[in-house]
Amino acid sequence: MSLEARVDPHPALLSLVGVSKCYGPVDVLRDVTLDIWPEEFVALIGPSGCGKSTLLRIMAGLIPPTAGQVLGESGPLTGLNPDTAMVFQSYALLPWLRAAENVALPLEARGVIPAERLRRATRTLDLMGLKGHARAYPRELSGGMRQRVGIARALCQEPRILLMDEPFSSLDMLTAQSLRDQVLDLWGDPAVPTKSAVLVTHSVEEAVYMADRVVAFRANPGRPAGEVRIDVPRPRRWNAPELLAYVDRLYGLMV
Amino acid sequence: MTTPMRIPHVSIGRIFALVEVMDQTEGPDDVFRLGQALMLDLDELLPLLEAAKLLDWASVTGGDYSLTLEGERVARADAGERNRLLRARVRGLPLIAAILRRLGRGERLSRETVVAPLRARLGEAEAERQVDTAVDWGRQAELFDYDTDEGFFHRTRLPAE
Repeated sequence: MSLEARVDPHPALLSLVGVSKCYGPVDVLRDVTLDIWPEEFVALIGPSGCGKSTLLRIMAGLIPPTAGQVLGESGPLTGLNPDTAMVFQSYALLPWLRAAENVALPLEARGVIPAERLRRATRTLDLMGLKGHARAYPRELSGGMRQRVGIARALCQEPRILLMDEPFSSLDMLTAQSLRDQVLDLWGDPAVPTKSAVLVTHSVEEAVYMADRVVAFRANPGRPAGEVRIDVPRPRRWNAPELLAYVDRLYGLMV
Repeated sequence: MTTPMRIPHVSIGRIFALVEVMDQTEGPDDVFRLGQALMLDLDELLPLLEAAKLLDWASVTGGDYSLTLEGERVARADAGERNRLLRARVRGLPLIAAILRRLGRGERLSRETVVAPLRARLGEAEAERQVDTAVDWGRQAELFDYDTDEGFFHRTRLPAE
């Protein structure tokens, strides 16, 4: 990518430029170039082994690329990307900490003072409808509630980009659908400053239901096969005919 | 037959999710379709329906379900409004009302005090489960808190009375 692109008056929040990742002889990702723009909800879909979760971790700065660059708004990033916070499929809550303590934990690393940490954690739990469970341990919560705590922990950091790695895959259908809608509601809520999101999923239906733009990946090595903009206003209806047409197109890109 | 004393063992979040799904069709609609659409078997679906009926958010007759007016409100409300509607319903359930009454008199209340009177009638396991579910519902409604480490219920200052 030329330097010119970086002086764009509306720069991307995050740019991956020619990113590759190898583990020994295994090419997990090859030459991925992708921009994430302000106020954009992007879904990355593809089969297992297409490197989409690896790409999300590279965006977060949790792992370095083997080649290529990760650019934030003000230039190349190394180490943890402070503009991002992550939601994990397995919730990744610490079992010995109460819900509010789990939510507040990353704020400590971000240098927020203790009183402010608790205030922000409580407020975010309240947004998720979980204020009354602030002192509950993860084992006392249902799967859906645990993931709500996981989402609260990410949103509490007020990241510019919310990164979500298969966040609904461990939940049953009833809970997953309710939580998808809650995430979309929060994303549109003026009280939530986070306005960009990247969702990794293997559900094409979920991708077209939630995202503005869906990037389809192929495997071996992982690389984008194409992308589709979802021009359907929200709220959308799950499996509505106009969404199924996009599902069909996306399958066409991947297989 | 379920006595009104018993709370169905379902997480409140799932009841909210259920009324959201019910609100997507005009209703009344077939219960079996609901089970199929959500891939829930009877053991999962029945306690959910029972809970929705107990809260007076849905009615079920002759294999059909429909939302009550308040059920529709819950389905369309934000998290705060839902918890307010839940609070009004839950505080009247016998087990939760008993906990609130005792908390009103004293500082805190031990779990054993709550479990003991249920044990004779429901048996050890079900008595403990009832209290676990009451903790979940009471917390969600922001009516009281429970400290697992100490085994004590506490009044909560969270809700506006």
